[in-house]
Amino acid sequence: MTRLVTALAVSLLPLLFAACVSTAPAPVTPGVVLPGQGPGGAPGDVRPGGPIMPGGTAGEPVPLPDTRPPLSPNLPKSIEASGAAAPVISLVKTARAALKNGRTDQAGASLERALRIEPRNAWVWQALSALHIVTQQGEQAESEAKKSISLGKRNPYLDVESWRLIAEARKLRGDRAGAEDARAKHEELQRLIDP
Amino acid sequence: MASFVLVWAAVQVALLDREIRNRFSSVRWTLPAQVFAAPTELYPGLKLPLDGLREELLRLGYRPVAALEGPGSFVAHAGSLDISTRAFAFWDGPQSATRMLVRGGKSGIEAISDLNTGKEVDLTRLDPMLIGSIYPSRGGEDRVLIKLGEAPELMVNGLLAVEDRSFYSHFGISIRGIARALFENLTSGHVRQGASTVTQQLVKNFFLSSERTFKRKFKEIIMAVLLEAHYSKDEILEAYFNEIYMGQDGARAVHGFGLASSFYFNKPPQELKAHELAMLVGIVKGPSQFDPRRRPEKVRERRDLVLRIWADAGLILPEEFEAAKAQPLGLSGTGRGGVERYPAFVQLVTRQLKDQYPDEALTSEGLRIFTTLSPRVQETLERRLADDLPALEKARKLAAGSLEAAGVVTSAEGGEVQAIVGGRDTRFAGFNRALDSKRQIGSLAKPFVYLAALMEPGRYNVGSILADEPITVKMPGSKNWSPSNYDKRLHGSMPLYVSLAQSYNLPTVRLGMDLGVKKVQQAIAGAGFYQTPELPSIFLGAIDMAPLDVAQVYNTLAASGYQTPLSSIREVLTKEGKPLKRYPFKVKQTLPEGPVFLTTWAMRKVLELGTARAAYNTIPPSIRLAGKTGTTDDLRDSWFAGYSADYVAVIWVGRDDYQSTGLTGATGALPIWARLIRDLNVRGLDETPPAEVEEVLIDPGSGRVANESCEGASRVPYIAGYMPTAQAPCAGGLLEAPAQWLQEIFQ
Repeated sequence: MTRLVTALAVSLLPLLFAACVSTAPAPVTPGVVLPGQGPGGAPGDVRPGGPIMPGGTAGEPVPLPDTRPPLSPNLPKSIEASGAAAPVISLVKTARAALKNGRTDQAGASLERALRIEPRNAWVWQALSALHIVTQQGEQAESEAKKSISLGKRNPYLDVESWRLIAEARKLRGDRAGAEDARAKHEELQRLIDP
Repeated sequence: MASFVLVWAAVQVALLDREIRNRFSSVRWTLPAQVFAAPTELYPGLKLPLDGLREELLRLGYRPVAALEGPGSFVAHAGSLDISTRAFAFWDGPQSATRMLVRGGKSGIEAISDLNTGKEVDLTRLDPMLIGSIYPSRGGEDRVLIKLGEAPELMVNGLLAVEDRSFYSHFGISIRGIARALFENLTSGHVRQGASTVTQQLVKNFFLSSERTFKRKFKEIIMAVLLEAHYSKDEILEAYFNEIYMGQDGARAVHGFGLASSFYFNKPPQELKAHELAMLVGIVKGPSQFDPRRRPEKVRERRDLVLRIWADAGLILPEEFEAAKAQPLGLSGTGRGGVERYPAFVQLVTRQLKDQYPDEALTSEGLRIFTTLSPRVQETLERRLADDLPALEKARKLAAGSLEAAGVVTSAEGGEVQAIVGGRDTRFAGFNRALDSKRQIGSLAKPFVYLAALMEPGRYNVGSILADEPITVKMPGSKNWSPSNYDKRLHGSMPLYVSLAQSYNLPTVRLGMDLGVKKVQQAIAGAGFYQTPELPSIFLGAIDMAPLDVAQVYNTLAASGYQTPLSSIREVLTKEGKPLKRYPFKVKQTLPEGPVFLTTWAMRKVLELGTARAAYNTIPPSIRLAGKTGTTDDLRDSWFAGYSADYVAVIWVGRDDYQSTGLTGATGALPIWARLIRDLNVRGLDETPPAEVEEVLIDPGSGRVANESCEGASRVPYIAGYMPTAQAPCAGGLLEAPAQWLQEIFQ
């Protein structure tokens, strides 16, 4: 089990990372000159912007260092296992039940109540995203799923569902290409979790 | 002739009939909207000290007692509280009254159990505080609906015993009473004696005129009879309990026993004791003559008279009479009951609602409005301004009362306004500086210049070297702009985050010029403010914003770039308790997470080593916070805005006449902010970076990548893919040139 998780962790790192880096702008050459030569300003000691170290080769993407902490072998697979406070878990359960009965308002109120108790609980944000897929609020759902990923500390069991929700949300908004990107990320994570 | 008189009389009666029926049916409609604070959620693990919970209960008008009485009472033990909660119809369903045991201590609540069943309770909530109502500005009638079936028996029987013993047998008027009044009035030569039935009193109240003529009296009698013909006794009595004038609160007229109960005693009528009920029944006779707050002795006499009548009528036992008589009036301490305590917040709620509901719906349909206000946070903020402004004036030798202030506290992730103060007189419902005083924000704008820079990771990171040198900006159509640093000095070159932490103007303007005004404008717009002028002076904060606007843009930073429009309302219900509208969380990613994280990191340095480092004399240094000082020209405005993991707080101090205060952001607003944050018991910022940010161990000596063998190395965040790679000497790299500034900043 431990071996499996370690393997998973190692293989997952670049993947997760690639997912996030892919949207970063292409780096430009460092050495930007600040407008020191403004009207009346002496050229003087104008320093480049860019990297902190004078001699560094900054600005170029580098592979991830291997010193990153390995993924915990105890990654929770559900909110019930995540160590969330008891009232938060019971509110999420209430919300699930309400959603099953089509009471979306009630579900939303319970989830928001849960978020007031634990505002940075990634599982609750994800549940809220899922609710807004049901209510066809794509933009809202996408932001909430992204927020879940951002707060979730790189837990693939959590993120796999968030990427699926992002794909759904983008589909709702008519962003096909974006939906496919998200779908691909979801599937990659799915393969890792459940090979 | 006779038939003509008859027709005329019939027409008159018909007119009166229409008038009285219209008026009567409108009683059920002119119900001001009621505004509630957010309910306190109680659950094991909540960081609310038991003492704090006790305060909360007292604010809600719960009575401290030796053994639990009915709902609305509690017993304090060492380490626990027994609470008998009130029933309340929440938006998502009713919660019935229960008796529970809450155990806890200084650090918070440990366990909750149901006293009836002994079962553990996961989560429960207290009834929310009624914080105000929205009543028409003209007439100013305010009331809280009370149903006859829910009114205490003693209130109903007690009123009739004093005001109208034959209520259930007469037909609107009492012949005997009229005869007696007539006799006395005739013998005295003018109209003196009332002797009205409850029905007549209700009619009189409908047309609120104190005019005393025979004609009016006659009209009143006709209308009373008509009323009885159309409506049942109970309907009339219920209308009476809701309509009768019970006192005055400034421009607001207190109508009915429901509102009077909270106005005078800060609790619902069902919880009133005999002596309190007797006071209410007593003042019906003339609330201005018997004003409990202005004439307590006179009112007490009247109350005791009522109690005696009740005892004689057998409504209370002799020993109850004695006990009640011995009680003081027991008016609530605030002088305003539970309502109208937080006018600045209610103004914000009203404004938000006015966009969506016509005035009439707000002031007459009895809507129940559930807001985001946290009474605990609100009172903490109020206490800060009340205590700290006079102290500041004294310490700085400023004229007492010359400073004004405003403050806003929001929840970081939900964007809910939890507290708002619009001026130093927190009970004054006038000019609300938190909403309407738009002033320049000074250096509060700087984080957005740096954010705009950090959004270009190929060009800038938190360690990028900026020059602190003079700059002159050409301004088309006006003279050139040559800003200077606050201390009028130059500080050489420094890393980007040091420039923000020390709030240096020159590197900021140079950075802004390099990026362009547009990019900075966009960063501010991303955070939720759209009226930034297109001028380079915005880099130094030449932007007019109200404290609430500042709270909005800082809230987006606190929420990692996810913008939530600040809100003050959660739900609106009809007066029957049916959900009308929800105001759900709205969140949208408008700023990229990585650069926002880096900006927050740099704003942490403002408190750790920059202009706000004095804050950590007040706040435990283990609590990570981010913020920024703001000072405007001639020291007109002193700002501080900052956040923890759970709260965003903005404080403004200045003068209404735009004179200099002699205060910078660090000497005026910051100390107030720091004490506020300390009192709120906040959670520190989460250090975990988002996925697109990598932390690199940096050697302070060289500014290069360090490893475990480098002493004093610290972690610096970079956007992934843009990290430095050159190794520090201690990590085996070669050093080409010493970097003095780095040693300084890592100290």
